[in-house]
Amino acid sequence: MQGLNSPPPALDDALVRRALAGDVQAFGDLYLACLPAVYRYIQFRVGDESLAQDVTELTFLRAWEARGRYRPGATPILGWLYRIARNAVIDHYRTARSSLPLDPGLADGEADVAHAAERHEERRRLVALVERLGSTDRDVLTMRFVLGMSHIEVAAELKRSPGSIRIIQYRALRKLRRWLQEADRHAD
Amino acid sequence: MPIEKDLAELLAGRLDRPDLAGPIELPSDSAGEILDLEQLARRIESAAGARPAAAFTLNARQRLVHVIEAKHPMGRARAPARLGPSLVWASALAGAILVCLASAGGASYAAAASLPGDVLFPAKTAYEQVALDLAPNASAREALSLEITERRLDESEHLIALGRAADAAQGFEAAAASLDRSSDLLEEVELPVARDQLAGELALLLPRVEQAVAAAGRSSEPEMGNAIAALTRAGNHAIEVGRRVGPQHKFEFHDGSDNDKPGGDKSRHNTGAGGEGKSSKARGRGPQRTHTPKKPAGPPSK
Repeated sequence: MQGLNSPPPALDDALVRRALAGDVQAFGDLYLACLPAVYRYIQFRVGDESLAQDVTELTFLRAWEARGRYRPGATPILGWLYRIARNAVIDHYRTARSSLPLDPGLADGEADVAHAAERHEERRRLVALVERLGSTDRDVLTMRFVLGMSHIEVAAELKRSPGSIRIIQYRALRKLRRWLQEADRHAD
Repeated sequence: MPIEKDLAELLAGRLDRPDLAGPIELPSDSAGEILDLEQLARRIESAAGARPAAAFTLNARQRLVHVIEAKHPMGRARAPARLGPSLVWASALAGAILVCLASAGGASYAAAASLPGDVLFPAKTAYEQVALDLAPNASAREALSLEITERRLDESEHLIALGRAADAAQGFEAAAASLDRSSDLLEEVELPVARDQLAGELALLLPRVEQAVAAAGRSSEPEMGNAIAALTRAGNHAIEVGRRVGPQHKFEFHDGSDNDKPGGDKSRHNTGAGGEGKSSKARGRGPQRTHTPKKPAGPPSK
């Protein structure tokens, strides 16, 4: 059993290959290695902890099912998981409208309600702006700052050069900054 | 004035080296912007800084491996499946995982509140299936199966109220399947006291099934025809088994096609309280629901 203090398994090519070849135990290790990043993305999108847990597990189960489509070495595993997670979130948003709050807001028992409200609002605002970006800009910012992927990894995923990823990142952040400034001006 | 490429490289350099947060050598006319953009990137990182809860992470690997192996014992040699048709399968596996989640204290709000037709509903039913598989004996399994049947009926009636008739029809068919399973499981219960009690539970569930047939009959949804047929067939099967296993109980089921039959008065089933229309929950297994619960349902007590 993975203890709380156990480090996650190393995410190397050999593990990815074994996992995606159908080795269940290796896939379990891959899951643990990628869980923090994938969960971070999903929680960033949906806001709610238990929903994020559900969608995270669904994401990995879909990944297990779709493992035959992944080409090790061609793209980073996190980028591939990001695509699956993104689709899982979208599927949830499409189908859950009638029965579930999509972004339920503050967690119960939050000690510092005002602080939690600020964090919640900040997250909502940033999610809305990032989702407003074009798909490449959005993917670059999400993979870089939510999943924590390097420029090189993002470049491999998007089939571009690292230099172009850095320029896209710069432009996308400028766009976000401008939108935030405009929103602030309107708020005033 | 620096060109865009240079600024992008400067920004990337700073983002890759958070230890350089102090004063930096930047073109004076661009330093403010670079620092602003860096700060914005850090804001995104911070907003996305949630970590999975310890209880969730603790057994995460074990849960996933257990579920994959339980569903596909030949997982290592199995050829990869296509994603599209596997959506339901994958959702169902997620549900099985939720059993473990719930037992680890991380009950799943989303799956527990899902209704037939929702994306997480297969997860909920898989959760229930694993709970049935894990039930310690036949009586526990039968008690749980009866509860699931009642839950499906509640959900389907709630869906009708929401105007989601097609999903309700699907729910009614699931309820019928669950009722069939309950009837079959009843025959496996060997302990006479438990067998008698559970036969009584089954008898008292039938008015709910009648009520569901009536509700389905009021809908113009074409798929309701199948649902009514399934419920009727399952109700009749329950009578057949119930009268054999628990002849001391009153097993009656009328599908509404013959209102002249004795006991054909449906109004007694619509009260939800008292008499034979009372559900098993109203008789002591918990409050009777009229709609899907909004809080997570944990694993059934054994």
